[in-house]
Amino acid sequence: MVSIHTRQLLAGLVLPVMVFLAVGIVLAGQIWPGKAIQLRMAAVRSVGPTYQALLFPQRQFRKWQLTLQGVGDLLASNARLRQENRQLAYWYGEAQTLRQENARLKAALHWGTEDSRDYVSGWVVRDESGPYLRAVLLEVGDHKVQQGSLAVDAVGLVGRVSEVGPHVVRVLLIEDAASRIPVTLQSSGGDAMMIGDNTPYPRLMYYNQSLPPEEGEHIVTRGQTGLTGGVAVGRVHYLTPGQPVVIPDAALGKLELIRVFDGDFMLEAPPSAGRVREKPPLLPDHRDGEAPSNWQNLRRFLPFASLRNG
Amino acid sequence: MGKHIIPEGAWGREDSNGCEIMALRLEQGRLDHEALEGVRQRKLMVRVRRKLSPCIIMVFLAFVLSAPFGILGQTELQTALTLGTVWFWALYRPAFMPLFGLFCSGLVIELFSANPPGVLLFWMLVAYGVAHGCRVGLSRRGFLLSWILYGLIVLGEAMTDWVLMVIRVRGALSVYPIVFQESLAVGSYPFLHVLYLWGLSVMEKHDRL
Repeated sequence: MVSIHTRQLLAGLVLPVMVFLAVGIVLAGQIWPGKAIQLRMAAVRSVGPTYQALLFPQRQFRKWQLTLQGVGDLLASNARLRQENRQLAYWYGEAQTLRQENARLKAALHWGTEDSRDYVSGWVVRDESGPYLRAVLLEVGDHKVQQGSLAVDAVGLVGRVSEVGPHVVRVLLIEDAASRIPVTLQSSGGDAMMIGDNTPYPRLMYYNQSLPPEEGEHIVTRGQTGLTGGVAVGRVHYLTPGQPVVIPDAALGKLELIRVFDGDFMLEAPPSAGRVREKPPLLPDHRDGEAPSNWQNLRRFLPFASLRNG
Repeated sequence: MGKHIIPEGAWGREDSNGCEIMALRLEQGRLDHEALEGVRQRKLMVRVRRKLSPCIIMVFLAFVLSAPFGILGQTELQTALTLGTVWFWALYRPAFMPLFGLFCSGLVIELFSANPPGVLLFWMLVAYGVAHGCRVGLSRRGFLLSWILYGLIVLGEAMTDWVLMVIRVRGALSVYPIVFQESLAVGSYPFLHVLYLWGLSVMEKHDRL
């Protein structure tokens, strides 16, 4: 039987022993920190679900907070939209006024004909894309679509009409290896040719070497005979130095609704465009409403005939 | 007979059915061994509750504060509350804070602590020892001195952490964490003190009933 004195002595030793053990733990933690971390990690892993339960109210509160914040933002954006709507209504009125004024001024100046653009929209009925072809078939109904018309989606250029059928047209996508589209670099104003190579990023070639395309530069179609200008195409990106490609604006991987420009924009250039005639024609080639006659050409060689030109 | 041995009020107003039955038996003068056994069990439960409550509260607080809530000063608060709990109970009710329970609680808390291993346990034992040794003197001097002593203990803990971290990284570290931990611990202790006093009064009232 342990005496009271011994028991008191032992009781007094418990605290120093425990302090000694604690110091031992501190030293062990400093000597083998990895083991201590592993032990703590194991403990935390075992109580992971409890932590989840503890964090549930906080997460729920944050979710409500975000919802309330979203509602607040919605109210703010609603007010902003109303304000913008009022401004848009104001600018719409201004635009209408300016349009009327413009028309009046053009009428006073005897302005030439206005270039009108028309378009037809249709659903993509078949995707004909394969390893060597990138094209889609588009249903346009009874609309008369011309070959070479530009096709765009909601964002940018998709391709050009390559074949025209009774109700369906084939649109050759800009990434097809046969696609060649002249484009204009918007920042520098230089021209280039966008050439498809059956990859998602058509190449840019034949640009002015003194004005190389810049990274991120936006490009649009170049306005010329048979091609509507100013249609958004994409942005320039350098996959490797010296090889610019175009990242198309259009979602070519998921084409559903496509719009094809259907206006009579295929303007015919006058003969020998860009050259100055050495001599004006003696006689008109033909008069309006009359078929050209071979006899008229002979009249040039008749010196005493009535000369109306030259 | 039973009425003379055990006061009636000791369990006459208990809510549990067992105690009501016992009280009925006592009123009828039919005290038996079953009733005595119930009394013994209840006393044991009170004793266990007294011995374990502070340790359980301490472990619970440390565990909750180790959850990734992302609150600023969460780790520092964990240390402050742990040391504050030890300090309060060791100083005012040492019977509620057995040394063995304290050591085991410290080991468990060490698993969920972010401090260098063993430091918090060491300073818990130091706090216990200081509170135990200066208990009589501190009870005469009032709250302020105990508060200051508690602040010194927390300062010691924070400085130990700091020194060990400096040794580990082999470079000078900012002393801002020490100041922050000290401020948080000293600032939160009065609230903890009031809360534990209230809990103690509730517990004692319940045990008296």
